[in-house]
Amino acid sequence: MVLFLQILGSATVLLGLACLSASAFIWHKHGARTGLWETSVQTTREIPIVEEMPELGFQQQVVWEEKLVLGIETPIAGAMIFIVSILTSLVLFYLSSKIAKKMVE
Amino acid sequence: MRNFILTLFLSTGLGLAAKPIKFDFKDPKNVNNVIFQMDAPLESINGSGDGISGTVHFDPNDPSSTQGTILLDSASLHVGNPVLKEHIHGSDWMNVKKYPTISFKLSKLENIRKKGIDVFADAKGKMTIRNVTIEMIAPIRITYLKGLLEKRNRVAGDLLVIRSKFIVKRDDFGIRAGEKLEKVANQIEISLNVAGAAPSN
Repeated sequence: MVLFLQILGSATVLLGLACLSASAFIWHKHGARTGLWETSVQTTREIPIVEEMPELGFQQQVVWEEKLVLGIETPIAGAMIFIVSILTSLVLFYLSSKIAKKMVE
Repeated sequence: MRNFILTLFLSTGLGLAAKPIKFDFKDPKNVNNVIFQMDAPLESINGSGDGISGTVHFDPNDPSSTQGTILLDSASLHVGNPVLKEHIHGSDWMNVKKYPTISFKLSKLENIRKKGIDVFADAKGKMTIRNVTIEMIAPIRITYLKGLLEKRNRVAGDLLVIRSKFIVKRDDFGIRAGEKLEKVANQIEISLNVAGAAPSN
């Protein structure tokens, strides 16, 4: 029982660490934006006012493409899971030591 | 008699030339848009609106007499974050159901400067957002392109391009006045980029 709780505690910490690393990695891959999640991305295109006559100037066309871009919530969620896993593992280690003590007595 | 006919012909011709041309800003190519930007602590909020319509009467010989109205369908306002978009469309912010249109009624152009094919001026008019109307002046750049509508829309006629960048304040239009300033700035930077068509038919 003691060993099981200790293994479970260690596994919880490792799982939390994996979540933190994964969330940080994915967030970094999405550009490490400090903004919030976005489900569409703005793309601005320069369209000539008159085709084949760029000397007359351009008009900016805004196009929204449906695409999920992760924001700051992702690493925050990862960090929160990590904290919860640390707290859970502390409880598990505390319980295991308590059980071990009882067994010795 | 010959002189009289010539004078009549010229005056009629000049009279016709002086008539303002009506430009429709409903763009079949769907390029016309308004881009807006607001400062926020994490990241600036960028969005756009493409529901542009309205008409402007422009006289190439007398740009100061330019008049018209540019309308924006407030439900066409879009930002990348869906929750934020819901907030912007919601009753506390733009209330798009109750106030479906944002308008700028241009009454005249002042301080006109011509530079090449462009006319730079200060557009004096009335901006209406959430049923609150405020008189304001916005710097404007107008490009009149005679006979070039055909190359853009495959219809004979003229083109009028209007570009402008200006700032409106949330406070002025009662958009959560004095509230949430730590989350969203009071100033909204607006960039207008529209082309109007005047088919000659």
